[in-house]
Amino acid sequence: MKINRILKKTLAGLIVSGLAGAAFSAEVGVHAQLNNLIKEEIQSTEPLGNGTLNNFYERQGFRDYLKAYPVSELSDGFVWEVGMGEEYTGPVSGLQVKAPFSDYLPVPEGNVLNPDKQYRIGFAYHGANHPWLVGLADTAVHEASLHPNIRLEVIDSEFDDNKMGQVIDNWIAKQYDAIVLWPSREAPMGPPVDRAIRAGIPVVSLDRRTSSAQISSEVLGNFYANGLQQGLYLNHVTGGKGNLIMNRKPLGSTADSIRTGAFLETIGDYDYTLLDSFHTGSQRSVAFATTSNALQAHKDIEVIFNTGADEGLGALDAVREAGRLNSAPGGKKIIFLLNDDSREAVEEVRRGNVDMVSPYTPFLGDIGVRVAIRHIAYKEGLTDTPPPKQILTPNLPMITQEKMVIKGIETITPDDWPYSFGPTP
Amino acid sequence: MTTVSVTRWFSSSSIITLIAIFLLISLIASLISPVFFNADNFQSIVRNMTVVGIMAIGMTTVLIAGEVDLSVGSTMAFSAMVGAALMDGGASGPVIAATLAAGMLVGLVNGIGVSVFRVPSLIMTLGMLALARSLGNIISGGQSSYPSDLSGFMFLGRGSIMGMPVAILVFAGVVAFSYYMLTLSKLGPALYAVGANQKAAILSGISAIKVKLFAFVFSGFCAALAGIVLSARLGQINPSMGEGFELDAIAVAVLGGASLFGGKGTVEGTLTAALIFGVLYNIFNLVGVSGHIQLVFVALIIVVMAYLHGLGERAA
Repeated sequence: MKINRILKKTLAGLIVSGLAGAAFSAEVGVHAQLNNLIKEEIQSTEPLGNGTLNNFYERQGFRDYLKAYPVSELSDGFVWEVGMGEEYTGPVSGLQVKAPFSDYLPVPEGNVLNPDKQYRIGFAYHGANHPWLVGLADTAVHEASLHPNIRLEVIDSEFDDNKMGQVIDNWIAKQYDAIVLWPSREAPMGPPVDRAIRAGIPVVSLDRRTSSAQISSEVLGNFYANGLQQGLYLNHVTGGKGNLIMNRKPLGSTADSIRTGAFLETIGDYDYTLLDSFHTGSQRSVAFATTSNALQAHKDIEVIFNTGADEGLGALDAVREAGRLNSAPGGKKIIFLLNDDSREAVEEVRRGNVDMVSPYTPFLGDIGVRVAIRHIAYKEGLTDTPPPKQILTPNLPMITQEKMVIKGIETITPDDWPYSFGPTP
Repeated sequence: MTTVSVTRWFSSSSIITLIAIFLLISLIASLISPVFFNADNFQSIVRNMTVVGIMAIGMTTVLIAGEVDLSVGSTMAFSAMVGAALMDGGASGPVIAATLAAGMLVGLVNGIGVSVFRVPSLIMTLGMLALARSLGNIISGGQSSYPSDLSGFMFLGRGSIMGMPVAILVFAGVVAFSYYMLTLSKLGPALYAVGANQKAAILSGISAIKVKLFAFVFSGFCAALAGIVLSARLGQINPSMGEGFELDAIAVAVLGGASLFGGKGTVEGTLTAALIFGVLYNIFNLVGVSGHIQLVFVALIIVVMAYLHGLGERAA
């Protein structure tokens, strides 16, 4: 089974790269390169070759999550490259921001739509005390500031779905022109979004989805590419074997299901042993305590997979405290695989403690505001075509200490990655 | 044995019961995991319980005085962010001092609200839970800080003296001070007296206001100290730190014999309960019990212990 699946993957890879012509060339862009690899490595209906991993994979329902998550081209034929984007001081965080996607679905600077009219856009999110979310707000507020006739009202719903629903209802009553939101959970935000749509107000969700089928646009991130690249890196450096533990985000969250599912798909035909899998609630202190315990239970951990930077950095602290950084069999270093390119995580790559980070940028708020402006333009008859319903953000390449080429993907070194978020450690 | 006699026995010999529970759980743990009886693992368990243990000692003092402090998690975050605001100076002393002072200030405000203005502690500290958390976010702008350059600060979480982690020594220091305070100083009997029967204590010449002020200030101090240890271990001062820690602190304190009705509780009981929690969390994690189920367990402990204490009160 395993050899059969690997052969099929190889064949699929050849076909995909053949059909795509120069798919693996730099001109096509990293987004298309990674999408091709997703098609090659992940979008298979066959069981994983490694029986134990397959049982785990099926038991947790990863296949269903992966099937439902879109993988597609970028809107308007956009091709993203490292180095693109605008640099400024974040208006919310006060930190330096380089927003990678400020050229994606652009809207000219200055007054927009009807220049003599003021427009009101509501921006609702959660968690003004999390660097990722503060980064999201930074980009939304900055984008609005580029357009003098746009007034953006920012509300932190403090992880209270009910509060976010009330905020949306309030904006409906005030007849706002558009709403941009970062929903914490899918289901509770469906009804308020539907109410806004019925009231003729376009709604754009960022990063996470809502249960509304009527939502105007969804801006979705590169979760697939995260898990894929963690798996590709691991296969590349280990040759396909090792003992691993997982520190994961809450069960059922999109970030966990797509990243972990894609990771397992990518490593699932090789001889890895999954020692333990923990859900550490996106909390660094919980990941720290859990990893401390796991280190006592397992003396032969070779790999720690983490769905987010909080989990990964907590795990790293625990490993350092236990003096176990080089405790993998043969005195080798434990391999740390992380997502989310916080400045702290990227710095740990530079220091050689974390082996790779697959970036997931918070700097998406600007896209949300621009898409909202385009929806208003369509509503007011200023354009014939509405913005796309699903807007995929570009897949971003992984960050490693030294430049590497893995399955045609050129990795980026910390010095060459300008898009990190959060405070400098 | 009837329910009443069980609870009487439980009340009269709670520390023996707790030690028996600890040994029993340890025995089960060693059967589940062969690495349990290992010096490294035990050190890891104690080290992981230092933060909640320190907070639980503060909580025990407040519970003995007949009140409760729901704001300890937020106090931890607020005081840490106050300290973090001074980090640019590059010296550990002012950061540590400011952190502890901020924690004590929160405790003082709680104490004044409860003892002077007679606001029920449940309400006062619930309000403070939200207020301190929000102030921490405002001070920090929602951003984390990194104390890695503050060697003295980091030493409290990551250092060791003759092989013994400093975090454990800090916890031991808090335990020793609290033991002295509750059993050997004049303050101890006053705390128990106010918690058991405030009117009688006042009639006996005890200042309930001073006693409660002290209890809340000490709880704030413990929360801030726990925040320093946690931040140093994680190498990060985070405005969202300590969320939900009040539940663990209360659970450890009541499992250790502190009564939600006041007048009861011991340091040795809280210490043993902290170890029980440490072993249980260790085993839960090793056998893959989810965080949600772990929280159910914590909630059950609070409810069952409150019930047993209630029965004990009625039996007495």
